[in-house]
Amino acid sequence: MAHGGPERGWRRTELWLPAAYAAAAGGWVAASDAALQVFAPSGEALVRWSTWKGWAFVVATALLLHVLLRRALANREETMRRLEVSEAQARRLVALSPNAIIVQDELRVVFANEAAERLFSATGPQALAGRSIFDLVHPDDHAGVRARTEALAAGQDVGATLPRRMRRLDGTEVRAEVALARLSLPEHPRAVLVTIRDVTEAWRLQQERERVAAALRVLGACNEALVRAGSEQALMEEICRIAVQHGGFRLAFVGLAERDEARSIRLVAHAGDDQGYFATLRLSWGEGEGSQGPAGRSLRQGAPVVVHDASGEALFEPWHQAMSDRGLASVGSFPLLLGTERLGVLVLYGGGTGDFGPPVVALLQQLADDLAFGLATVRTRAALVEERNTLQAILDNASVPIGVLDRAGRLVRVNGPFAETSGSTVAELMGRRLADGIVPESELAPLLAALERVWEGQSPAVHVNHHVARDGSRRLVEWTNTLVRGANGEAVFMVGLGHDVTERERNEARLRESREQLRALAARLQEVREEEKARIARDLHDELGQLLTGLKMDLRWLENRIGELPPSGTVGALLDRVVAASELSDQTVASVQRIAAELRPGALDRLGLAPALRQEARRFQQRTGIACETELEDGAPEPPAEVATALYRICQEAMTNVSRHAGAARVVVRLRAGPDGLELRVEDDGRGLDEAALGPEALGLLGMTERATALGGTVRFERRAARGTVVVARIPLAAAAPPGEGR
Amino acid sequence: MTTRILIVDDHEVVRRGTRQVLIEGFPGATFGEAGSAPEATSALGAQAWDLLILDINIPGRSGLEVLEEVQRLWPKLPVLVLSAYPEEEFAVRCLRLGAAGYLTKNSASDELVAAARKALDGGKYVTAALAERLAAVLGGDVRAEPHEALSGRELQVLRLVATGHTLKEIAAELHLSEKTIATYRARISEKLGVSTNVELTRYALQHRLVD
Repeated sequence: MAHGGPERGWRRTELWLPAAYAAAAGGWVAASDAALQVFAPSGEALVRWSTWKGWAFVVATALLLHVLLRRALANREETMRRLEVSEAQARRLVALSPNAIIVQDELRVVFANEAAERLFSATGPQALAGRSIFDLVHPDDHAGVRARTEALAAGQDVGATLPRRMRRLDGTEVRAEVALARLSLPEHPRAVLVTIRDVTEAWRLQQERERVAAALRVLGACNEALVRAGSEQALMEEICRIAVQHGGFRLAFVGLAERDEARSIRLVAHAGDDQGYFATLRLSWGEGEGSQGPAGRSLRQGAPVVVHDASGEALFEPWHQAMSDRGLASVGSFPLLLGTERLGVLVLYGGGTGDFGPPVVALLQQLADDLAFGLATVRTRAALVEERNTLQAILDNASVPIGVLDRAGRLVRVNGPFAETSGSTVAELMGRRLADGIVPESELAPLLAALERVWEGQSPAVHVNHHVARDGSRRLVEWTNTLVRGANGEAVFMVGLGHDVTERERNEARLRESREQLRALAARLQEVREEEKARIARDLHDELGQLLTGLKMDLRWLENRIGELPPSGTVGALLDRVVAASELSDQTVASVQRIAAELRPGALDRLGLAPALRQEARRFQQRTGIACETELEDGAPEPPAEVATALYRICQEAMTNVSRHAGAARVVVRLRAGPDGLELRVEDDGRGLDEAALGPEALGLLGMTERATALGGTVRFERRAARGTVVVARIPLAAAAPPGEGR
Repeated sequence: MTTRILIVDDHEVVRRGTRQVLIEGFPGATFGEAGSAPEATSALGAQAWDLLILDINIPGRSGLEVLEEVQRLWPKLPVLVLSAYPEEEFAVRCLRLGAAGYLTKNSASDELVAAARKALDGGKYVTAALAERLAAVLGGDVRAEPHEALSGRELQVLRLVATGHTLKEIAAELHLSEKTIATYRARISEKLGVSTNVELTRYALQHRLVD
């Protein structure tokens, strides 16, 4: 082929060379004969010269023939040598070809290379020779092979390669790709060259890939089912269905490991047409009957157990017939494990022996793991739902407001009482922030700041704030907050337990108000009483006192008149009676004046506070024998009447206490003007104030306090460092307007 | 010349009693009465008076204001303040305002005549108790002669006590009960500002009330 060009040239040479020779030789013969006849001197010379010319022609022709023959022979030798090399190379190629090459003639093997021997497990070069080609082909493909060979023989194009199932001499199957070509050999003019490539591994891989793909599809579908799973039962049934529908498995079931005595495996879900097979199964993951199958073993071992070919498995004896009746060849059992806990098994049945390749097993175990996780998730979810329902029930039935905030400050859970405090429904409140109209704006900033501190765990988790309803009404709620922490310890929710203190607050306000009213009433009563006393004192003093004075003057007049009579028994007796009556009227006047002064010291109204205090101190000393001094600032401005009265009464009360309780020898009354009004101090050197006397039962003290308080002042009761008690009353001069009008 | 005395007091009973007491001391005196400050003012303007007996607590203006006005308009007219209030409250103020004396109504029946005499003489009448107080305040140059306020019978009892008679003896001599004598002695003690028999005797000797 590589010599196509010169070959064609050679053929042309074959034509023009003889032609040129004939022309040259013819020309020579004709020209030389003519030249001889011209130049030959004689006939004799002509003959001689013609003979010499003939001899030269013969020699030249012979030389030319020699050259040509030599060239042709050399060419042929070169060609033969090349052919030999080429054939050796072809033989080597055939021998070394990784593909099996067979030459068949009339469907019998006439040649097979080493690869073919290896492929067909032949024992030697001659083992294949002479065999029918059908010995090497899987019966399923006999017809195909025959048809293709015949088509080839008929001169049809049979295309490139075809997959075939071949059979080794030992009967095992080989997947191959086969190409056919006609080969005309001298001794076998109708031979066929058969090239066979072993693709068993590739085919197996492809099969594996498909199974893996199927398993992956199953896994994917199952994972989806896991995510959607509503209930445990539905999940397990769905997984079985997917395994059969998408995974190409014949049957599938899920058995749960029972904790009973027999450690039975309870079949809870299955898919595929089991033709009553599953009803016959009695499985256990213990030691007894039904425990030696893949399900029992895998559950015991906690690892997948695969039986690729059940028919060859002694352990399958009990189920062998039942399985083969249903076309089941292989079984894989995959334990459902959650940590160390054994939940059950997922068991799959395949129709082929190669259905459980290692990658598939790995994937299926992963599926089993996922299923186990799914079951756990579903169970957890169910438990969570129960827990949530329980929580909701608690929330709903709690009589106090409860709210749960997430970290973003949104309400994720509230109960009815909470909704009531803000005049909404539970549904309306979900997802809202406190700022969304639940808490009044004025309280928002400090509240949020306080909550932030709670989130950070810094502040005491108690606060009080209002909730405002749409109609503007407000409830005051006292909250106790608790943080709920997530798995990694960070605070995720804040649970607020509320206490509606609106009523309490209202009651307290009412109480305060009523206390204020009582105080005002007490002050008013005090005032009225003071006025009443003053009026009675005035009446006693001015009216009764004057009348008695008149009476007394009359008696004295009478007495003087009688006294002027000459002394005698009768006169004496008269005088005695008149003097006695006069004395009686004296005492009566004194009594009236004393009573009037006690009711309301006239000095307080007529002379002012300081003189009144001095008078009181003097009377106190006379009455009790306790030394009483006064240190009164004379320059002090005269306070308003009500202040003077209050201070005077406080002083009186304090001195009464001293005389009653203190056992004092000395009392000092001090009055001075301070920056914040008048300060009255009554100090004694007695046994000191009994702390218990400061209790609410100490009405005297309370009375003092009330008097001062009504005028915006204070009263303090202190133990003196050394000995005795100090009562300090301070009342502002610009007295806070007393509840009633001043006098 | 008859003594003209104006009594200002809102109580008719008191005015009458006062008049009776004064009649004892000034038999020929003529009396005028006023029940209130305006009445007093008009009475004072209507005629000339020798003595004004003035109550502090009267309707209209206070007696103190009346006192001031009298001092201003009739500086020569002596005024005796006769008050229901204790001496300690007003006496000093009244004396400062120019009153001739200050008497409580309690002591009026016993001391009014003596006080009035003193006032009419242009002097100042001070009770023993007040004198004691004033002495403490002013330094002792206030002299009173409290025994001027003693009635005849009281003087008689003082002498008997000072000469060492027992109550029983005095009672028998005077045909009175011991109780009455005791009362007299108490009154005397009060008027003189003494408290014991010894002091009483000393007072009588000092003032030559006994031989």
